[in-house]
Amino acid sequence: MKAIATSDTIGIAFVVFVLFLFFSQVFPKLISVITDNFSKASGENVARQLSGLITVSGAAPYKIKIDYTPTTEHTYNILMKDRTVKVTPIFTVNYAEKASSTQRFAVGLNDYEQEKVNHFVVEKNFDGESTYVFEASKE
Amino acid sequence: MFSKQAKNKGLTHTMMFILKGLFAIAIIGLLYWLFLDTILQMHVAINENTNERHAINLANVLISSEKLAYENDRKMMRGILDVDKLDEIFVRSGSFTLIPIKDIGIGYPNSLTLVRIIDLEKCNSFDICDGWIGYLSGPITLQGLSIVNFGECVSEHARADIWTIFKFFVAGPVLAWWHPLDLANCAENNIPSSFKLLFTNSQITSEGFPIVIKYPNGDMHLGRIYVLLGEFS
Repeated sequence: MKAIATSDTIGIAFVVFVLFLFFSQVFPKLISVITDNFSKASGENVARQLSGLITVSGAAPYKIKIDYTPTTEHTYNILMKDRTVKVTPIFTVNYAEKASSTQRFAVGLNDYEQEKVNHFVVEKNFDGESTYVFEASKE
Repeated sequence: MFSKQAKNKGLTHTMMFILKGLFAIAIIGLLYWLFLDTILQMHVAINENTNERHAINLANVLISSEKLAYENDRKMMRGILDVDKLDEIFVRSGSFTLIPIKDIGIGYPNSLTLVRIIDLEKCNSFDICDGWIGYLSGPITLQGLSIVNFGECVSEHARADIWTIFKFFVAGPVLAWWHPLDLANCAENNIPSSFKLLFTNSQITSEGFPIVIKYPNGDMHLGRIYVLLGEFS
């Protein structure tokens, strides 16, 4: 009887210990990593970064080429039209927000559409007049 | 006989102990899966003054642009503005002419930008300096309209699940389809900062960007460029 009581106590203590370890050490770290990765890879953030990079490429006096890969784990659908960029993320995880984001930029760029890409290149060339090129591919 | 019974009992308890442990681990695993798969919903709301960021970016582009910057031997001089080019696009301040609105190919869609350039070496005793002033406009597009983006955001966040019918009767049609935080996020990310500023009363003051103004006779004067952006929709 005494042995049964001891094994039960050890069992309960073990479960409590595992739960404590999980909720105090693993869980907060996990949430922090998910939040960090997701905020960088979210459609809203990628659209804002892209629109910012396209605009500031115009600040280069001669030529510039900017490579931007927000993440290699996820891909995005890109639609560029009328000085706006619409980014729709394609996430496989359920917790991530799949909503698209449309952001504005301030320089002239041709309309562009590409699906399932995560590597973006913004190029500014100058030959008497500034011209801009945008390309996207899957990495 | 007695020792065999005791051995079997001990084995049973050990097995029970292992099974209990496995059950506990399975419960934790289930909770973890439930949390990540159904309970946790990550949303990103970016709380920034988009107007100010856009104005800074635009000022950087303007001082490097061939439309305003001085060119020497086909080389663009960033930060050195050519007076001849300034006269073409803007009006001299205090010249009593209508301030023109021009589209020079640089500007955010659905926005109006007030650009003011002052010559810090041509100031009077009241510290009023000579300079140029003008409006730059961007294209008017449906794609960039905040209300369209807000509508898209709201429609993409509409959620139908087992609780929708229940929520429809308890909380009404709006809360049946959307979580209040989803609506708040859509508003945060899509309503223009210039519109939000009307309600928050927050202000950003700027000293402008330092520039050099190059006159046709070769004179170089220190100056500043101020860019104020109004994204009206």
